[in-house]
Amino acid sequence: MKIFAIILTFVVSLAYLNVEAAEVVAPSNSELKEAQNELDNSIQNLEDVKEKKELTPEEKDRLELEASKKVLAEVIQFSIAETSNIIDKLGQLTDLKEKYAESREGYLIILEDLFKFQEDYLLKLEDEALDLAGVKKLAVAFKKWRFDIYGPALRDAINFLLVLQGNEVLAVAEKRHSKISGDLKILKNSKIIKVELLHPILNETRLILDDASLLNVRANQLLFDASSTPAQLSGATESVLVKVKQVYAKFLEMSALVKKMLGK
Amino acid sequence: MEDHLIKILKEFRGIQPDPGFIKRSRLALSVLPPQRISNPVRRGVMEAMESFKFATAITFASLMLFLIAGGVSYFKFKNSPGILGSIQEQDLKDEAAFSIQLGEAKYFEQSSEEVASALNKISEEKDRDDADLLLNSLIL
Repeated sequence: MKIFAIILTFVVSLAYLNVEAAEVVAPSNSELKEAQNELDNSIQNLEDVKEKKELTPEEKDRLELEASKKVLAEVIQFSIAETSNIIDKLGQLTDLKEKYAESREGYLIILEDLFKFQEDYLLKLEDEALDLAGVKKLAVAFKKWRFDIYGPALRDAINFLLVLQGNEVLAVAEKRHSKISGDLKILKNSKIIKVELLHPILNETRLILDDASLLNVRANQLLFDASSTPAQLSGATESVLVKVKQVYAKFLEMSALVKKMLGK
Repeated sequence: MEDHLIKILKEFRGIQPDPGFIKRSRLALSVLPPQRISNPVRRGVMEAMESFKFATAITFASLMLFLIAGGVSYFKFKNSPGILGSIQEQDLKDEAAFSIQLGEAKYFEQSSEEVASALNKISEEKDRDDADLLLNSLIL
């Protein structure tokens, strides 16, 4: 029966190890990058048109109108892709606690409105009577909208996502720390692995993780504090993520040390 | 009265069990645990076999559980250093991949600048520290 218990423990710990590695999801910006590439090309085209000297004023106006409309359309398309990216990320969140789930719904409603506004804005460019002065006005108005409405809303949604991400990565890092700590206890009498060389690094990670936990608590408080500023929130959240990154750098340092001990 | 009883008892002497009953009873007795074997050598062999059967059952059950719960992990683990599996380099790198998302937040910072700049090119306003650029410092 003792052998059975050992095998069971072994199996459970292996399965656990495997599951954890899959918890982190790599993001993809491919659509955004594509939209940005197209925008870059359109901007270049507009600049080329403006520099052309051999054209008549009428021809130049016509080409500039076309190029400006294209740039504005690409800007809006890019902005739509950006909005859509955040909407997708909010939609992918699962198992949220009530308070967080309510916030997520709130952000989704706002972002869906922004999405719709931008789609409608694109239609304005299809107006046959639109001249160069009209396009310039639309560009100025869109920039103002992005500053007054879009930017703050998007910034809040990104901060919300970052706080949740902070919670997640911190929990994963804590689990990893416990596992390493457990392994070191098992190997305390090992002649191959010199745990006394690994413990100081592990102790450092404990201190960093404690700091990260405090910052993370603060970030979660700020998220629901109406008097907090976005800069405070993003500052706290970014610090959490940076600290967890430092912890993983230390873990990797331990990994390299173990490899060295094993002569690999 | 007494004679009557003797008569009945005599009749019982001739009663035979039903052949089906005999068959069933023999079968039932054959599956009962064997009585203690007096020969010590034979008894030892029998006990060893019993123990072997139990061990086989346990091993098989463990193997099944092992394959169901951790088969894939086992093969992954087999190709790894084996000792201190908790600090396998690849697992650590996978977990630390969140930094990409942190970078993604930074990406919005850059993109806001580009959008403002593109819109300025249309309206022919200068790229000054205007609205969008101010916004960037707030995002991250």
